[in-house]
Amino acid sequence: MRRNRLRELSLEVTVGTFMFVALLSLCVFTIILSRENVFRKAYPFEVIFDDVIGLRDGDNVVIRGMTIGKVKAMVLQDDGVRVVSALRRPVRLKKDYKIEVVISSVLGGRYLQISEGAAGAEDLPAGEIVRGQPPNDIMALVSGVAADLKDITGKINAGQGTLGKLVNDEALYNDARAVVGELKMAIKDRGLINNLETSLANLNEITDKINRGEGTLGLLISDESLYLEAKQLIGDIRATVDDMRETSPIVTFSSIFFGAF
Amino acid sequence: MIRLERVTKYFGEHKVLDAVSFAVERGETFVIVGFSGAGKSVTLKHIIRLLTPDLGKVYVGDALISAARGADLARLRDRFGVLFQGAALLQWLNVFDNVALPLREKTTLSDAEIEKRVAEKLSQVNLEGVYDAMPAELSGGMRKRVGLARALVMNPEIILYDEPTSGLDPVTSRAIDQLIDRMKVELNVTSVVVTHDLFSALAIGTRIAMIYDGRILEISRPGDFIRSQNEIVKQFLEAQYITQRGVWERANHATQ
Amino acid sequence: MITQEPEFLPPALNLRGRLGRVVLLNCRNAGRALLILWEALLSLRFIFSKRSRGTVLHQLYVTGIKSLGVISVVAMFTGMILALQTGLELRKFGQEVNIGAAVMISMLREMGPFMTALILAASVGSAMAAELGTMTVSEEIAALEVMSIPPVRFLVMPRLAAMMVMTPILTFYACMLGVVGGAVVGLTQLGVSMPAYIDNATRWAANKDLYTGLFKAFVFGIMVTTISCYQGFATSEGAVGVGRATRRSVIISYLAILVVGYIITRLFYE
Ligand SMILES: Nc1ncnc2c1ncn2[C@@H]1O[C@H](COP(=O)(O)OP(=O)(O)OP(=O)(O)O)[C@@H](O)[C@H]1O
Ligand SMILES: [Mg+2]
Repeated sequence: MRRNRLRELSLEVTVGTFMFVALLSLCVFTIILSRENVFRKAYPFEVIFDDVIGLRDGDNVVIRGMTIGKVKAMVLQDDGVRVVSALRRPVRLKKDYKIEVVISSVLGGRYLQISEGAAGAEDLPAGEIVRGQPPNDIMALVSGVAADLKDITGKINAGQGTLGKLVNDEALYNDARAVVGELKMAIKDRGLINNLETSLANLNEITDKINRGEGTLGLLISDESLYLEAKQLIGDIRATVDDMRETSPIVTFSSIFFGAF
Repeated sequence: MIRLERVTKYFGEHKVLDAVSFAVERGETFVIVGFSGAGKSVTLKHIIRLLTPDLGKVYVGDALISAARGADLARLRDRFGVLFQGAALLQWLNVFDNVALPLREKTTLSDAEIEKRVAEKLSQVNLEGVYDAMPAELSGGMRKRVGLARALVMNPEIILYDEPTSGLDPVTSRAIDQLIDRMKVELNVTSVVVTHDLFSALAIGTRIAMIYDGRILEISRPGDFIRSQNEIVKQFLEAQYITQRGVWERANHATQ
Repeated sequence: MITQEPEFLPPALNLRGRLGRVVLLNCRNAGRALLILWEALLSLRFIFSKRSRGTVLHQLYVTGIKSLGVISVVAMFTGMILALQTGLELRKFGQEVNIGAAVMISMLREMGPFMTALILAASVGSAMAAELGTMTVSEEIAALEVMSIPPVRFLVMPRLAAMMVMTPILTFYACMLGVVGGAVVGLTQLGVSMPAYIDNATRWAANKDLYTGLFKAFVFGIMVTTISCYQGFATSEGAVGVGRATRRSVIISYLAILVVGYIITRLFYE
């Protein structure tokens, strides 16, 4: 009997220790996962967005490339989404502040970027509602440009357009060439999404102009190489978009089976 | 005390018990004998409601155990001690813990009292000093005696024995017989004993019932039992070298 | 009553009769299993009583500590496989660092609970079925009932308690080891540094992932115990029956884990 009691005691100790350690690490892990520093003072920061394009609780808040806090909560409001974040230090916004949701990876990472504004500018009066920038959706941009380009080249092929008016504008022609070059580089390096974004914005501008009848369409037509390049470009952009589409099945698959993003 | 009324039981197509009726009085030692597979264990299981009759009734005292459920059934079962044919010891408990199990689970006795009671019961079945052995380490006969000690440990008023002496040597068998008899005399315990062993049946039984193919062939006092005119009972007796005069005789064919 | 009388059914005449019988029998068995579970849950109130404490402790030990070895190996390699597979895919996009999140989240949400439950079903669950099955065919369960010691309280409750406690804990342990395994692969095969891996892992995983996983494990633990104990109690026909009960307990547990796992995932991640 006494022997049994001793064995039971060592059992108790083993099981008890195991469970204690497990529960303790569970607590620690819970705190880690909530990504909150329980022991430090946090400064609340609120900003209202029209669209947060998939920002999540726990995402980082970044000023000039430095992480200074996390998104704590998001509340749907009539005039948009109120994003509440907890910062490790207070920020003093100027009149020309800019706050946006930035896409940090193709797989859907986002962070909240705060630019306080120029050092010399006036302080934002206390109590003023802070509003974030509306989003520019890269996918929409890419497909928009692709459609535009297609449209233009189609018109060119058909010999349509206000050619006479365009022949003169040398500057716009050069502009277009530069943009195409830039865009090609951006597409080659798929990591440089932001580059792509600016290039696309530029290109968008050009195609808009062309559509509106401004620019050197004549040159475009006479310059065979540029025309070919433009055609090539459409192909590249399509490939990029397709690549991005292909990524999504991986993501979906992951989220179903492996759990995901 | 225990009354079976035309208990009939089918296992599938097979009629295992066919209108079995008998009554066991308080303080009696009722012995059931019969060939292997005759339905003895099944009868015993009906008494304790491990089986429910398809037809007929089983009473314990005034209570209809064959229809009891829940707490009523538990209260009725508390009056019983049961020795199973295979002893049914819990394999992961040692001898001491097995015998102490009912005490620990159902009483509030202190460890010292439990130890005392268990030691007493184990010595009654001639088992001392094997407290720490596991059931798997015991011989069949020892296991049986541990089971017996466990059946007795709660001091029940009715005890059902399924072959208490099978697998035991003759000396221990007689000791068990004496134990059963002593409990009848000293504590007025009612016993139902299933056995193949006619010697113990004749020695301890107040009445003996013979089951054959699910039917009761004969119920009589030991003296009348050996003088039974029933052919099957006679055959059963002769197979154990017991003749009608109660003399030990070698049957002729046994020497050939 | 836990001990069931031997069952003899007349042969079914036609296909419809057989089909109907299969359905009815399965419903009845499920009902019996749930009744056992219900009784076991009710008996949980005795968990700290003097007479149950020893058994509960023993079951905790058997379920928890004794399973650590297998679970460690399986969890580690699950994490490593996950990291390698997703890592190789993600490398195509230059996103290897995301294996942290991939491994962490998939371990927490699915693989941790699944692996743990499958291992426990195969080891602890099958042992339950075999033990209780042997006890049933050697009339030990009947003996307990005759002594009016409720077999469910005496045998099932400690096992249930142990599984309810240990499955989530072991799942958590498995998740952690899986993440470690992923980190090792990340470091050696994919060139993802440890801090980057850990930062990525903890950034994307949320407490919801952790706790739905643990909840799943808790449910799995209850299911495996119920199924295995029921199969044990429903054993008949000696050693052959014990073998059959063990096999059934593992198969049914596996199926139940997969199906219920899917349902729980659906519930929490629409
Ligand atoms: N679980 C069961 N399933 C099917 N048939 C059974 C079962 N238990 C008993 N039987 C049948 O019931 C009949 C009586 O069995 P029982 O166990 O009562 O015999 P017995 O008289 O105790 O024999 P023995 O002296 O060998 O123990 C046998 O024919 C047996 O085949
Ligand atoms: Mg028998």
